[in-house]
Amino acid sequence: MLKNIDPRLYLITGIIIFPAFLFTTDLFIRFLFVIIAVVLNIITGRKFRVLPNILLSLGIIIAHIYPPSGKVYYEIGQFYITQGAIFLGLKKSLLLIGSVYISRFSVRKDLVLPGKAGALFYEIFFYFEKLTELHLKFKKNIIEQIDSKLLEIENSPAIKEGAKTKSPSINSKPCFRQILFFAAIVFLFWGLFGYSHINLWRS
Amino acid sequence: MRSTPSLFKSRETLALLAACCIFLAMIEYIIPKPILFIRYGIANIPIMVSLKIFSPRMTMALVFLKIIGQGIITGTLFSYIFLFSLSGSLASGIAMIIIYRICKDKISMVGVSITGAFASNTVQLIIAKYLIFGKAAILMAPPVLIIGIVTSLFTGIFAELFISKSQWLKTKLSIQGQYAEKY
Repeated sequence: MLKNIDPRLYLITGIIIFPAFLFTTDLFIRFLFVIIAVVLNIITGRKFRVLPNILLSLGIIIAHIYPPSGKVYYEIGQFYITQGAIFLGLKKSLLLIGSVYISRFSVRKDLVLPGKAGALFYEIFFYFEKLTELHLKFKKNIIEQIDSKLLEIENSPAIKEGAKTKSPSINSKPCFRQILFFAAIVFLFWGLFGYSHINLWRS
Repeated sequence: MRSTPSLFKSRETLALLAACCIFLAMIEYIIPKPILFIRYGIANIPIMVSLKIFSPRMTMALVFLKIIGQGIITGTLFSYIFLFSLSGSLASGIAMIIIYRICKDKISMVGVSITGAFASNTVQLIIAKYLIFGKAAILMAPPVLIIGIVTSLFTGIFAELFISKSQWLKTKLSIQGQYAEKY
């Protein structure tokens, strides 16, 4: 279902859901957003690594231990581990991690930008694909390997011609199920955002 | 005074060097890092190479293309990471151009690289202070700056070696020389 989707659909969805994530003040809802963003990345073929995210969160939380605020949980020497400090650290780390995964979901490699800038980026990514054909062998001279690849690209009229060819546009219009999928994501984000704010007004 | 030869203003060279930046950024992403916030900065090597063949304006264009291209490939275009990448790369790009313009042949790529890394890390630490870590960012400053200097030293050595040995660059520079002689 998620194959051959116009990357602009991902981008539009990302742009619509991002404010909901950014402006939510509820820590639990923000945590839910991060979970949803991670799940969306996984089901759309992007990688997710647990350890770097945990380390990042821990680093941010530790950095916020001082100044202490709110209820004291633990006492280590002169340091107080407080609820306010942990919540602030968590809030910031979730904001950081969530923004990365929403962005990764929204911005696809095959995203074609319009106009001259789009043509230039097409050319850059075309050369990038050619460079990725280079399997660097670390036992051999790396400089020579990169240099010969640059010369190969520079001296090949076929490659240069390919870089100038306009990128193929995605002709297939998204099907109903695909639109429904992206609409559900938008509904889920803004629904949760609305829910958290209704609770906030009530309290 | 004539401007830089049209060849060096060409889109092709700019696009190829930008592709190199993104390619090296991908290699950097794969290489394991002993400490979470450490960056080797190998994606800056094409920017250092560009100092030899491009005008400052074109080098800055390359810096922008590197930032946006990296953001698209890694998908971090709308995240806080992009903000760090943007500020760090801009700071290092400007610092490298200024130091190279002032010192020209008196400075090696090692010096240019260290200057760029110092500028990049300083700006990123300031942003980290205000956006994420608060006052604790000051504690991160000494290790981040010291490790940045060490990694940029190796990056600079690599850039210097590439500049002295690259046939591709020699071709570019010889065309530039021919142009200078002609006009």
